[in-house]
Amino acid sequence: MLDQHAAFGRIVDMHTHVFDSLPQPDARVLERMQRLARDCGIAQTVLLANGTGILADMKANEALIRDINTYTLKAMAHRPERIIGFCYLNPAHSQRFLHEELERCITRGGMRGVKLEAAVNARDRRMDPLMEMVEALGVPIVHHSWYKATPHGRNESNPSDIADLGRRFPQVQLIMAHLGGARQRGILDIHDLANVAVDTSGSQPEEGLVEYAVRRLGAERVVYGSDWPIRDYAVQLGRILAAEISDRQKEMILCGNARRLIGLGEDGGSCSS
Amino acid sequence: MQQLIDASVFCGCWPFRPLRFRTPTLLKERLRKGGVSQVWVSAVEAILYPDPLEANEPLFEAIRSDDFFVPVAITDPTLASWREDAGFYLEKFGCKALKLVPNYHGYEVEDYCVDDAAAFAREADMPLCVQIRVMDERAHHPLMKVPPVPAGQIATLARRHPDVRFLACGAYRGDLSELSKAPNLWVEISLVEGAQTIVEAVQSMGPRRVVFGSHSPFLYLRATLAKLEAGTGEVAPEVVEAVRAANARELMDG
Repeated sequence: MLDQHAAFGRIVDMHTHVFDSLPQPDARVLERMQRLARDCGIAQTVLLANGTGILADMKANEALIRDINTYTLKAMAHRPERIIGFCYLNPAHSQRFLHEELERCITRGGMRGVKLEAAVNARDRRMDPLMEMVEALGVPIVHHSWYKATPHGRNESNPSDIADLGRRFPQVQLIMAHLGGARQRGILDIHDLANVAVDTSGSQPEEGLVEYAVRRLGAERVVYGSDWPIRDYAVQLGRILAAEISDRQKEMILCGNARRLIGLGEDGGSCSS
Repeated sequence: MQQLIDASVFCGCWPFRPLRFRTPTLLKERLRKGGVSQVWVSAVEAILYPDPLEANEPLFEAIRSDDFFVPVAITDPTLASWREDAGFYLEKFGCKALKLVPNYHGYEVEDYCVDDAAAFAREADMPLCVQIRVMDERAHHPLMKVPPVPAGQIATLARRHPDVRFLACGAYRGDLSELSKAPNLWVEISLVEGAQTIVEAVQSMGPRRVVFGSHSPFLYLRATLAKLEAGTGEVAPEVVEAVRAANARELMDG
């Protein structure tokens, strides 16, 4: 059933992790990640960070950050045609370190964006120096976000925090992670911010939520992400394929928007390579 | 067409979000289109109404002449009338299973009333379903936060009643290690999810105690069905086939 969609074989997954040792990838881990992705028609996966490092320390020190990013660089080298790396950072670190790591990972290393988790809240003014550096580079940021009825992390951002960041830095492209965590309230928070998109990952594939996001944001601001291996590629793809939106909108969400956002080609939302 | 039994479906209205496929007609159309051949359905309003009968009975009346639907009665064993009502569901509507929602109905799985419900299920030779959660706790209404039913307590209950067949509904992947400890306990996979969902579920529970569930109409059916279509890798095709229907039949019929 998954292979019945026109985008099959060209899909870009904007939100993946691995759980592996640091900093040297186990080739078997990466091959399993790619084999399962390929079976679902996913051509490229955006590796946001080795989750082992994030779980070890949400406010990772500089050495751990370096290891996480070194892992991503090695993973990209292992499968350059399939793995797109994002640079994992903690905005609380020194500007010197942030600059060096962006230089190492993006300018020289070929990563295509920045991933921020929950070390610093998106409203925190410590974000500003990093945001200015990212703006100069012209790459997007995938930022964790969730509205939780359960206790949340001390500095964890919710969608209103992401909206605040998006307003302060209108020239920076933000991708708010976890539509399933943002839900209706979170979509409304960012609805008037053209520089903020949402990825479709997070929680169970709640019926109607993709349609809601498309209605409020437009399909061009919704991008497929799975959060694999916490989630299942097939299930998270299923929520896009099941949504009552047009095939054209599905194609934008499954690959065209991601290609545009991470600079793989300006093709107006289609999936051509 | 291959049989596909959906062991976890609700029908009706839920106050915390709109459910598009909330009537038997809409639900059947949607599930049939997805290839489902039989659904075990419960009235979702029975979770919150003071007397579940006021939700169960209208639903069971509406689906009475339709073999597509297998009625599963949500029962609150703390109510004085529950045995009488359960007997009524069996006799009048051919109800095939009972479903408990301990967290919403305000009791513990360890309470005596649950042992009474298990005894009833044994006498009626029907499965006893226990709903662990209805939705992600992180998305609950801020004024109504309902913790999940501890999976370990369900396994303990099942071990205490080895001659009763139990079904855990709404489990997460992290619940499976506890649930696997009782050989008379099945799991439906609507909310189970991991890197390779079906592989992980079968590895935890064994090949015969995993059944398909979609948690419709809360979730996209096509998304839950995808668990059986991709990433099945190390699981033999006949095991996937059993998850589609045979395991549910064994759970239902014993």
